[in-house]
Amino acid sequence: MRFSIYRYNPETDPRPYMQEYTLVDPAPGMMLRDALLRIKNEQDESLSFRHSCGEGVCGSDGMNINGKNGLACVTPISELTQPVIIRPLPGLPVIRDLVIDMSQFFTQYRAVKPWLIVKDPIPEVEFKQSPEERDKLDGLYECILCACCSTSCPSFWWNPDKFRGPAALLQAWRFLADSRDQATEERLQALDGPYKLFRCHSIMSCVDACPKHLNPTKAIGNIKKLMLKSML
Amino acid sequence: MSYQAKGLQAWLYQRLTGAFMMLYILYFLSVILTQDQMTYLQWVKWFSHPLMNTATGLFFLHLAYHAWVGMRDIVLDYVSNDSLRLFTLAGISFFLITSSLYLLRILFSLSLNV
Repeated sequence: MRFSIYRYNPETDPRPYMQEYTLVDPAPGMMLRDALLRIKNEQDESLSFRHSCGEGVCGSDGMNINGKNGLACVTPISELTQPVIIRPLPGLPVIRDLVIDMSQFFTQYRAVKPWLIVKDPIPEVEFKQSPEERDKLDGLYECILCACCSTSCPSFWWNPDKFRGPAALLQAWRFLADSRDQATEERLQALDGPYKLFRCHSIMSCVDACPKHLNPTKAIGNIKKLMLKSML
Repeated sequence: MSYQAKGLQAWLYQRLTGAFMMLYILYFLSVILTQDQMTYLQWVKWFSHPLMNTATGLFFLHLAYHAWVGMRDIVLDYVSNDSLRLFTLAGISFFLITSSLYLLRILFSLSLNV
């Protein structure tokens, strides 16, 4: 099986290049992460990429696979056309090979204050929430922050320092939708303006890319609706 | 037409102006497509009617605002250099304002024909 992988070591390479590898005898049902590990172990130990859990939970091995962002550990190589072209997630600075600098992504994530803000005295035992209220968080809390969505979003490519991006906005809605949170107005005000939320033009690249099948576009639409309701 | 227009306002007005324009276009098409032939004089008479004259004026004002929000979105996305951005936005607003004033002038002159 043939692979064409993006290589770049800023310390030694004047510019990035694509390197070809051939994997002989790939195991049936093999995931892309395992194929990359075999290439690294058997052919080229200088090939760098992040990975950890190997089962789509940690979100470490997000990469651009044949032009589409996804997690290598849950992508079966049998489904990929050859040569498999692998690049780092687009739009963020490359540290080395497939390893990107995700500082900007996490800065935007932190900016939406992804934690419960409660103004009443905190209950001694637990926060109460009805099953219906809890259901509203389904499809939101599952995000693993792999950055596949934000780095597939052209608005995030153009304005990564100003636009929050789909991952952060999904989390913004996760806390706006939470019955226990008491900072709705502050959260909405923090998202107004032409950039933070409204760079989203609903092209749904994020939905297409999300390996957890979440829907940031819908969450962004819900934030806009809530803003409208709060304005009226 | 402020560059500083809040995100929600611009987003909302773009939709409201779009809805108004859609109604106007539907009415406009329904008249055009059901008429066998329309002479220049009939056309002038139609657009001279105060209601149609006002609706058309509103249509072009809505169009200008709608276009402003859309063009501003494109500029905010793609033009990152501050001076170039200011220049582009100024150029777009100048074009939209002058063409709107020109259209309003035509419509106003028509309204005097009644």
